[in-house]
Amino acid sequence: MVLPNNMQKNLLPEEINFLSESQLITIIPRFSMKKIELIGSKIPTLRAMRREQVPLWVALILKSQDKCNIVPPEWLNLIYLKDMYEQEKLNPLQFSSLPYNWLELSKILLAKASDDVADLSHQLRSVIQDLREIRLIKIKNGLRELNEANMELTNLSLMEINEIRPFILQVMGKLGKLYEASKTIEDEEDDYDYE
Amino acid sequence: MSERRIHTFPEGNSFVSYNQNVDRLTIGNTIGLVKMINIEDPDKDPISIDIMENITSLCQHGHSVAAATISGVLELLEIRTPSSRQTVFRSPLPLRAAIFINDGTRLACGGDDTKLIIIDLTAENKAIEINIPDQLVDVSYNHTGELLAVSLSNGDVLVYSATNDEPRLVELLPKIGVPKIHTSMDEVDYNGENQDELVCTRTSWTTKGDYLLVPSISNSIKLYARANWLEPAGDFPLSNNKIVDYLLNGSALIVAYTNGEIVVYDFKTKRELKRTAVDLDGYYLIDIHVYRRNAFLGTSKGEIIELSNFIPTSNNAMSYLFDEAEESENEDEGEDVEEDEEGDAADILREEENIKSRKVMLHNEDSMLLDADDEDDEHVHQLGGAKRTLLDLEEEKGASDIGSDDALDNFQDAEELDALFGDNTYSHKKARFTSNGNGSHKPFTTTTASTSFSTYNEKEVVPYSPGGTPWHGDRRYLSMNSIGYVWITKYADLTSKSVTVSLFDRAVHKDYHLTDTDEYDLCSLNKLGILLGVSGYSTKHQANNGKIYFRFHRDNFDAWEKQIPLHSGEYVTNISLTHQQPDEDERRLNEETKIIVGTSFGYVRIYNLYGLCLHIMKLAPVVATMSSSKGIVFIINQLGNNIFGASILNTETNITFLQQNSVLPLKQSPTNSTVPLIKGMFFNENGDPCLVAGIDDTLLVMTGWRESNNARWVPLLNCHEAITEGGKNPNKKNWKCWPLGLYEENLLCLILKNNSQYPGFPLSLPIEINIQVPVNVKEDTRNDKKDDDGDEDGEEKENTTAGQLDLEESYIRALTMGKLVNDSYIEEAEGEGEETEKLMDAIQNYAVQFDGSLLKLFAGAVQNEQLKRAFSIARMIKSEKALTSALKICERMDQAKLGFRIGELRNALFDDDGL
Repeated sequence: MVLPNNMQKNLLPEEINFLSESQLITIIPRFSMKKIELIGSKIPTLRAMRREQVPLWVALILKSQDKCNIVPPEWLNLIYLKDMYEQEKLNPLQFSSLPYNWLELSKILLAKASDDVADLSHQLRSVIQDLREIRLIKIKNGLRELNEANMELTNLSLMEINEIRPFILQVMGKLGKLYEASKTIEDEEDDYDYE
Repeated sequence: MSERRIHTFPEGNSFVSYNQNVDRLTIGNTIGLVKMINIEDPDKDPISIDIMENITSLCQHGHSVAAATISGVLELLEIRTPSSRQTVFRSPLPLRAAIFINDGTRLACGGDDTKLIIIDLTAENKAIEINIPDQLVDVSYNHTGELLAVSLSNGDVLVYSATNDEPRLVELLPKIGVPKIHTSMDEVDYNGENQDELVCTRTSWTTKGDYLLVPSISNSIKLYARANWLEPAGDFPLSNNKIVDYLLNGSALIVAYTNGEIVVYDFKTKRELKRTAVDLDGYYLIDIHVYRRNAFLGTSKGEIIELSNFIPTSNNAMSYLFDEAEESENEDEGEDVEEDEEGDAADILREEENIKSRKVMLHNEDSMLLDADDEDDEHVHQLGGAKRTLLDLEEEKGASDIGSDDALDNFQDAEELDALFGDNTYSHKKARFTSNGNGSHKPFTTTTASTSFSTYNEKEVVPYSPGGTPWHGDRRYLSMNSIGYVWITKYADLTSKSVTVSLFDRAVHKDYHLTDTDEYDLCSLNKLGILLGVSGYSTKHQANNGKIYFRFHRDNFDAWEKQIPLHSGEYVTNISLTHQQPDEDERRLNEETKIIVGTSFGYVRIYNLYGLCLHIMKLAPVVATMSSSKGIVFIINQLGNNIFGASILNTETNITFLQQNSVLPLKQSPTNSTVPLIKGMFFNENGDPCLVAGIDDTLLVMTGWRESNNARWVPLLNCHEAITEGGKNPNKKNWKCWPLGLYEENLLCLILKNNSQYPGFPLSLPIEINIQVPVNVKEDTRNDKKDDDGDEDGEEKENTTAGQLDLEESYIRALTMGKLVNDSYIEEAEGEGEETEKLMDAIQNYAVQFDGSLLKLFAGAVQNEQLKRAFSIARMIKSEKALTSALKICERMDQAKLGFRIGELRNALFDDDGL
């Protein structure tokens, strides 16, 4: 790998974005097209106004050509996200249930298909930012509980995990070594006691 | 003439009039304030009086002011003692009009509550309620005859005599006025969502109450004589713009239009005397009032516009009448005047009568002076004691005329004309809001008249295009279908419009625009082109005023226009292009597309794509038409009052009826007239007609229509229930559904938020809702129970029951959809294309779903030991494999007896087949 060491251990945000673009998303085509078999997935036969699921990257290409409308995922609306934010506030020890790529998906859709989102973009961006911040605070608070053996990551998204991964891995490694060292000392002391 | 803007209010709807008791201009505003200003210096000592917000009507008599509000409160106050403000009546629904009657001793009011209320101010505000057939939209009163004219929402006008305690119905004039439906419930926003409500429905009486002026749906003012209510005594056609208000001033009729034009006509000769337009900058005029020669215009932006010296003097207005009269006199010297005088009052506007009246004007000055005195006395009576002299009246007609003989003559002429056919300034004031008398003054709501689309009017078919909406601000959708949608936009100058055609399949054609110079109000489109139509609804009294225009989407080289032959009173109700499905082959479309034009008299004409008439037939009045991919035309006819029938016509080869006049489950809502008759009509992908009626918001599909006398409608989904989640979700409580199409098991529709009845601009993304046949009550009560009980066993049992109900719905859905697909498959069976294979696959899927649902239902019944029910379910299973599975279920559940019976059933079924 030609990438520097620090980059090799972690995914870049661009790479996470790229991975997210493989996710299937519903579109409302504004043209007709026969189906195409792709290497990893397929584009079904498209007919104007008939909803179909295609990979997000295909949807974005069609959208840029004004050949489809992207149907935003169910969770990408103001009411749901505000509800999630309230849940985040109510449960300081848990993360609300959002898709594993909610940050990337919302960013892409708000940037490239904001006209297809029912709510106002700035309101959505605002609540997404609030959610992101409150979850970051929780993550930081959770670091106090960090140990060498395990870590609760339920409902954390790929991007969020990716952000804390370098630090956590390093710290957990150190904690592991400390733990092993302390255990070795304890064992030696025990052996000494027996002797 | 000069124009002045009086900025007394910065916002709200301002209603204007002149109160002669305090000699001030009275401006009532919806922000909850009445201001009385000196017109010479508006900023000097204005009198301000607090009233309720959102007034819908303001009337005054002497020093009393009454205000009706949208919250249903009727307030009364004295100008001199504002603290006297009191609520005299409270209605649960909005009040729309109020007026003082019987010399200010009583108040008449009404609104959405379908009641006429009479309040006796001398008897502790005792109210008498009189039921009326529809919502009250306006009232007018004549003091001389003590007659009350009540305009109803459906266009009826009721005439009551108010001489007794309880008004007596004198006459019902059916459907003569403009139908008006109030949609405003919190405030009246003429600049926004309630702009459609801005139309005049107010009737007006002549001084003696002999004639009633009624603005009609054909944009004219009709004159009805008390002596003969059966037919109008005259008709005064106006321009095509919507009227917001009018008044008679002597022989001059002053009309304010929505586009800001104020036109003065001579009521007798129908000649236009003067015209001006005020710059409204996006807002609207809402009423007009005349004091002396000045016109005051109330607006929807708070300000008042004054047009000084706008009204022609009596001298100017009628000088040519004298000229004409002299000429006529010479020509008709030998005519018997006496005989004319005994003529029918209904012929009052006939030229002979005009000549007669002119003769009277020219030669009977003495008697006229006496008449004038009588008139004057009458005024004293009508003004409620506010005595005025002839000189006072002359003064009102303009200072320059005072003292001159000509002025006196002119005044007398005006009075005579008034006596014959109209109000004068003074009588108008009595009828409208000044100290001289009483009158209702209100914003004039809605109508279907000029928009030509709308909710269905009970007896009259209204022009309709599937997917079309009324005006929403300066835009409206003309039509929507699976090909695309068409909307129309008014230009800022309001003189012309632009039609935009937006096609869903952008790879075939791009969006394009047309300039609408013909007031198109009907539309249909397929993949090939667009058909636009002028219904002629607003000018239906004229013959042959409907036309159609066709052009291809690709270019307009082959565009053509054709006039539709129409009788007087007839209009085009709908137009349709056949082959409206998106996957049509263009060459086939060129050859086979036809054009259907239906009219209110039931004429159905079929043209080819180049305007050549192929067939003509006469049916019941046509309400709507639409066409499927295979040239199948679905026609809705009006069979009777609120009874509709459906016919299905095959236009592909020869014209044949597949179904004729089968009664439709369609009805106008009796309680809510704002609900459209038809919310959506379209074909599903198999070519079955689908309909969503406004009254119950339920998606229906017609099955069995290919066989004669076997067509029936099957409900597939209650759209409202589905959208609002049965009313359980408070966030979706005010949501409504605008259906667009049915694909497989999904209803494609738009969500309308905030209680809107029609989609707004731009068109939002359609959503898909799974169909759910209404066979069971939804589980709302179960949830409540669950909360109460809280025990897990009970919860589990309820879940099982819910599952069983879902399965019941699932098997009915599979059965219905399977039948629909099967019918289509039988029709397609001749071919062996991809389409047939797809249909076969769909049938097999539905068969599996049907058997699967029944088996699960069967298992549930066996588990609950409902053996008879289980056996009844097993008898519905038609596949051997599924019956074998049922047998196994019996064995597992230790139901040997039931298993034995099912085994017998299986043997009987499949042995017979084997034989």
